[in-house]
Amino acid sequence: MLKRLINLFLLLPMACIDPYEVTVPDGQQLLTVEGLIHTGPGPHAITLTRSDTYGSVFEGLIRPVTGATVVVRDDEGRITFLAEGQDSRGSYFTPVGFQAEIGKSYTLQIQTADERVYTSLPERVESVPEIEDIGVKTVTIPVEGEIIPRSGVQLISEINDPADQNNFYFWRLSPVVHVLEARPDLFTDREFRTSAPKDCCSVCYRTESTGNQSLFIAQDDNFNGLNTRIPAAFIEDNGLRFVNTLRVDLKQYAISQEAFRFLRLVKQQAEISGSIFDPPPATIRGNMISLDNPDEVVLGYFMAAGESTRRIYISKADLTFQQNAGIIPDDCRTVSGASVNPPFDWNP
Amino acid sequence: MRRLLSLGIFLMLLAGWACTEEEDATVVVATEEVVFVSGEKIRVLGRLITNQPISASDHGFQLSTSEDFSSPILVSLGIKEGPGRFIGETAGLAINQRYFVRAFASVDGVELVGETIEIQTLSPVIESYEPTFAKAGEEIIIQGRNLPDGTRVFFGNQEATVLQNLFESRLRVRIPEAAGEPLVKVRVQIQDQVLEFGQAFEYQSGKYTLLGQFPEGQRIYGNVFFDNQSGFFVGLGTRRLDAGYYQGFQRLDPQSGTWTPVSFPAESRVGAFATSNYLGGGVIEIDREVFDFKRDFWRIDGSTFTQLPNLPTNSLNSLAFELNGELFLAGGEGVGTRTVWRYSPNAQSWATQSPAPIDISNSLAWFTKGNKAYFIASDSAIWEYTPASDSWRILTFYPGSLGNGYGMAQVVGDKVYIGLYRRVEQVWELDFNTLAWKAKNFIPGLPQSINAGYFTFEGQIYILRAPEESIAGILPMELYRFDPNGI
Repeated sequence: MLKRLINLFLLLPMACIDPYEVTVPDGQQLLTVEGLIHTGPGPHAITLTRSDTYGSVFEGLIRPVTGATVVVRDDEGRITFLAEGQDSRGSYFTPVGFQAEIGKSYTLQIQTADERVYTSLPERVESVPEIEDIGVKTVTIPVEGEIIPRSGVQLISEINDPADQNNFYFWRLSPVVHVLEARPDLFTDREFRTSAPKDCCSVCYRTESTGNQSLFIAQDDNFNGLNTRIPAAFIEDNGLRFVNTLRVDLKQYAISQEAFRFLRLVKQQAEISGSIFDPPPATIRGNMISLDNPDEVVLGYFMAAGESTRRIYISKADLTFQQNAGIIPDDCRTVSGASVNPPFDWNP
Repeated sequence: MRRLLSLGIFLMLLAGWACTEEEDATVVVATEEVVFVSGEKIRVLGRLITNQPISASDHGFQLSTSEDFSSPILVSLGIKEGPGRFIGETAGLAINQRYFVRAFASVDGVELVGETIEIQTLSPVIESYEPTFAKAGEEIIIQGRNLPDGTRVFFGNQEATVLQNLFESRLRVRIPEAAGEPLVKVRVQIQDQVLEFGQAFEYQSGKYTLLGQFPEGQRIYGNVFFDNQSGFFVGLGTRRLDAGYYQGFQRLDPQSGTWTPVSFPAESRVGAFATSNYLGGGVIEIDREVFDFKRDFWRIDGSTFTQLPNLPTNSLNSLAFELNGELFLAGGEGVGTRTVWRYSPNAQSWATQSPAPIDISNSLAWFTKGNKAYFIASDSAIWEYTPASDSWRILTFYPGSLGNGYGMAQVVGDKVYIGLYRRVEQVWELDFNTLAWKAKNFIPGLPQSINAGYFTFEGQIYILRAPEESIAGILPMELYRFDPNGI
């Protein structure tokens, strides 16, 4: 009898367990600053957005910060006002003639429409070595479950690193221009589903922004003062870009140590793969400060850098592996960014 | 034995407790970075670093011109609970001066200071301003660097109001009243330093002085006016609202400012033409739009009129001018809007010239200069007529409003003053050497006024203004003197 009672009492606590509700606070709408001014021709862009809650379902929208007064100030007090783009709200552009000067320090100052004032820490513009040459290397990336791997072209920057300074490199790509081949003779009328070959046009020149598939940065700890070759960019082969010739400008920047540290942390966070060896996710502090509340978290980084650039034309013969050529059964001019006329300075 | 063991264990425990040492809190104040330096303002970052909860009774920055921080400027940010970054800002520093700055925090009565950073405040620089020509009350923008709050701007000796100072680099300034000079230097004063622009600012000029009224408070319309060595003549035409024709003329002596009646030995009329030496044409309106054209033609000698042979054509609202001692009669009704007649006084003969490329009547503003005549056409083109070659060409374009026509054009030296069209109070100056235009001040008085006459005497323009005929009330014609360069 006593044994049965004990068993009964043991069951009672289990019935008293309450479900625990986890309350996750909403993410703050933080000002996010992204911008780079450099010694190359402008205009240079500073983009302001407000972050929002990120989740497994749609939570919020990253909104541009419009109507702000954005200026860049050098260490002599010279102010350059940036104008907000008409077609790209939240992006602010320097005047066309503006170019940063090597040796000067620049700060970004922002006054938002609600009268909040932000400033960056000073960023000094360092000189940058020229890109001596650009190497091309075909890279394949196996894809699980696919026979044909992803592939593309890795650009390798050859530089003579100066020995007398500690250099931090960052590379970006200009929009690429490539020959786009189409098959207008294969055009099919979608309404009647009949063949309706077009006379024009089978060859166009398409301009598109490919971005850089990752952040390409380097510091000269291991090659200070030496001639070296560093992977600087990657352009994915989508079956259209490398069927003939592709042109791209590789831009090499000398950034500050603090900017390099920021980009390296961003790169680490962006390349988290879920392994136990990944760094824990964390907020990466940039160089922007709120003057109204120094403890306010402002995301992003304002960079000022020296720039050198070099152009390369990549022929399909330069690739050791190519994706199957994509077929556009239409006039090539229907593809966005495509024109039958080559750029005025097209000179492969 | 057991008791001894227990005692031993107890003593060992006591000994362990006694060995626990309290770790001292480490508190560091860091002067992190100077994020902003201008002419008289700095902004500094500091940080309070500690591994313990902390409460600072005060924190901030110290500034001094000496490295030992004797008599420092204190930027106090008050109580700070817990570690973290702080930012301090101060203004009112001396321009182009070396300072030392360090962060501080007062914790438990102890003042902790950070490392010292040396800074140099910047020198103010002025770069440009625009516009360089405007009138008092308007705004100019001054571009420069390190122009702090409290920057003063002067136009000559007149201090302007600084409406906005944007990022210490762009001053929006209201232009003060002029102090008698149209050209003044713009100076910017920052503390004791005065910077001056090389290019002088030019006030929009043009001073109008009301001299008096037309005699007997009369308002006449469709009148003629001319000037010669005897004075300025205004007359003929009709009184307001069909109150009869105005007989004869009134002559103004511009030096004494007195009006004297002058009789005309013929019927009064409207729409006649007149130059310094000739008068003729016009009509008497018998009924509505029914005219009796007058073809009588007169030579003017001072205040006397001598009749000449009649005109070869009717003339109503024609435009007349003299070049090389000859009279030219152009446009209007009767003559024909594109017809030009030339009268040779020696032969007392009339001859037609080549047709004008524009429609002409006395509603056009016109002037003569250098034996050429100029007409401001209805499309704002200024046509130049050269009698020697009997040719026409466009000289330039008038930038102002043509209103409802009947504007004024007067020549003073190498400048021509054009404007005062009906319902337009504006006058423009044309520099004949550069063909550059410059706006002049608006004429005061009733905006719905028309020009009853104008002439130039000793570099100043005299303008007789009459309210439009439809304007009721006791509003006599007013005589203004316009000094083009007056302020």
